[in-house]
Amino acid sequence: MTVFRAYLRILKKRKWPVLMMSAGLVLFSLLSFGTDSGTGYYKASKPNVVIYDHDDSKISDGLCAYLKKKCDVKKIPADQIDDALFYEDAEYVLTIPKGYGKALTEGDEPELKIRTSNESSSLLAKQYTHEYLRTVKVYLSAGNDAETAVKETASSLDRAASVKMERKKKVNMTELGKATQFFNFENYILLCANIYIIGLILFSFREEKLERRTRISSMNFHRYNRDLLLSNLVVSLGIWAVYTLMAVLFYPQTMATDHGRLFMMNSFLFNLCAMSIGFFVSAISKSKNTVTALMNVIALGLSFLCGAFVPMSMLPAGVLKAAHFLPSYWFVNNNDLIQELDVITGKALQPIGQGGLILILFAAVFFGLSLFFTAKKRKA
Amino acid sequence: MFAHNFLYTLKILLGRRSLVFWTMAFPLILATLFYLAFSNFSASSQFEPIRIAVVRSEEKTENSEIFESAIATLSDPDQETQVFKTHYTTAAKAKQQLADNKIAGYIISSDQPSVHIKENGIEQTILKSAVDEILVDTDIIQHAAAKQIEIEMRQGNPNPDVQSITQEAADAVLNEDVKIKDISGEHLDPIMVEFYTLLAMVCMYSGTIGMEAVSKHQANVNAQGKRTSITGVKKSTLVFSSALASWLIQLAALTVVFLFTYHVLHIDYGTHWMQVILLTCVGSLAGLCFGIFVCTLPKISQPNKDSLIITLTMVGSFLSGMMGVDMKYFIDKNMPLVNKLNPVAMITDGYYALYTNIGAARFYEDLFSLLIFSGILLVIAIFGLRRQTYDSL
Repeated sequence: MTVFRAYLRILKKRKWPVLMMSAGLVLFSLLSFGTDSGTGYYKASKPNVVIYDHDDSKISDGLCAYLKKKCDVKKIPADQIDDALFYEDAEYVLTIPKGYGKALTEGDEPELKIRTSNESSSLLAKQYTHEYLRTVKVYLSAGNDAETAVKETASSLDRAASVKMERKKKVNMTELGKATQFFNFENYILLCANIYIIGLILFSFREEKLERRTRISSMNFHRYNRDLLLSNLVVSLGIWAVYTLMAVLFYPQTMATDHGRLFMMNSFLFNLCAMSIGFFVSAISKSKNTVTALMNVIALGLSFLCGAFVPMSMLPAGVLKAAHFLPSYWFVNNNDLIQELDVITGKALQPIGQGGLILILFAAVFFGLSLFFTAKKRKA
Repeated sequence: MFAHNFLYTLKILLGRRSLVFWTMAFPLILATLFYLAFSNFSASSQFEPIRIAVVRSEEKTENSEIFESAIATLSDPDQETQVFKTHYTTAAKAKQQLADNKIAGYIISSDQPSVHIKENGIEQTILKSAVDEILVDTDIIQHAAAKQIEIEMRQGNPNPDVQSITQEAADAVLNEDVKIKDISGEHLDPIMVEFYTLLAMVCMYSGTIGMEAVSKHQANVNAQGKRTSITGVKKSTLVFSSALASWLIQLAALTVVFLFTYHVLHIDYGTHWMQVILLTCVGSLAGLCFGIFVCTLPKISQPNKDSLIITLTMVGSFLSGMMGVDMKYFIDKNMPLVNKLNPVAMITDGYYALYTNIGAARFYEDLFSLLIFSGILLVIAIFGLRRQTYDSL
């Protein structure tokens, strides 16, 4: 208990940097999931469309109504459209000039102007526009007036193929996608928290004078190390519990399913790995500034290279191959596999189980390395 | 005295390895990580033909043959309009391939084709839309052909050539074109914003150097501060010479980061180089003033002040889009005041305005905001530094 009380005293002394960092990480978590960036559904199935209708004819109204059905039509003022296109809040901007409907009815070939982002969704929106107007033109060519042509077009375009979702279990796909995104982001959070808190506190315990006094004291050295390890485990589990609780609060439906339980287990194993990395960093660091510097490099590096911030499907092949040697890759890969799971079978769980074992292996390796470097420092 | 203090501040700061790391090595490492992570971004977001399977109809009908022929056209690799990479298989195999994520979806061809998918996404939406369009076109062609046959029969032709009429109707429908012009111009890369936030973060990290340089003149911080406080030299001379030395070191670090990102990583900063350099200098000044301000905050220890600068800079960088460019847009749209007060966002937005040529007004608004931010913090810091008295040291 002496070691544990000392541990908590050091934690209390460092409470302001720890609280500041924790508040920053909680803020990151809260704000990230109001945005549309992340894994799971990287692109929405409905393109984001902005329409400026200067015509106000039956044909333009019909086109707008059709696009409203097929796309997410947004109202963005013209002075903000450049930003919207750059950040892909708008993927397709359609401007219908005045007199367009009349010109089309009279058999002319008027031109529509569009602006697109560099995404496949904008191609889809363009295809919808093309399909609607081409159908209207076919009906106009058959001798119909604008109103009849619009009506017949709406009726024709209602024809649709049936869609079957080949998922045996019904899940809230949107929430599942966001939960996956949350747990992938947790890679950065768990690494930062574990390396910073555990790394700094262990570094304080390893201060030369304090360590020498401890060694010549009557305290059993094995007991001392055991208590230190348990103290670290308690703090690390506390960090994990806070973020798991956040996941349960934000994504209750998902966390109540098998997916949620698997996410928790996966993040628990990764948290052990992050804790071991914290041990390792404290063992190799020569100053507290080194701990902070390594925390930033390791947490950001692993997050960017292993698919935590950028979806794995978008990473270059060479980077993905190299990422296999990093623990975060297996954590994020497991999260993506869990998201795709339908029915929980042994075969389906096998790759996830393998990823979990690799995480435990990484944890053991980092523990071993930290013991090696600690012993080396002591001998020196 | 100004020159003497300036020179020795330079020597002291350059000898601090942690400062050299934060201002130079860390940004270079981060820039390399960004480059590795994002180098495939533009290519991967462009359209690639979608992998699907088709289960051929057991009963051959006219509609199912038309449908399969249309899918084959959309899957032709020699066509520019290739939408799918299609292979033909049985229903059971297609189901397994879908479960194994080898295909985005599969179609069972019949008089009423059905689309089978496992999840929602853009590929599945494109698949469904293409199938719907084939059904719609088939429907329109059949209606147009039926109408033409009716007209011909009314005109006294009891045996109209159905095949020919249908072909003409199909040609009329499929060759009908709509003029749509894309006036977008060159598509700019939103990933550039990540590198701009990195530069903005480096600018703000000049706060750690500034704080280091100014804190040695504070009597309650270290012994050197006590000695300089009782000298005959004006405090303003010492503080400004230290601040200038810090600023120059930071500008040197920024130059290295700039040259690395421009020449090695090929990051595009636009064409307005004078404005880019001006923004960088002012951004670095803002970081320096921030560091000097934090240095004067009472009742906070030096390590905690360091943590405060680093934490606030990281939060500011996050809100400016460092961990996802959408964050900057989200904050600008929904909480604009946050980024109006965030110096990292001001610097990032300035680089963005120069890259996208969105207008000089936006750039100068960011520049003046940074100058006002720097001025306010510097004035508060000056009041905090001057004429301090201590009960005991």
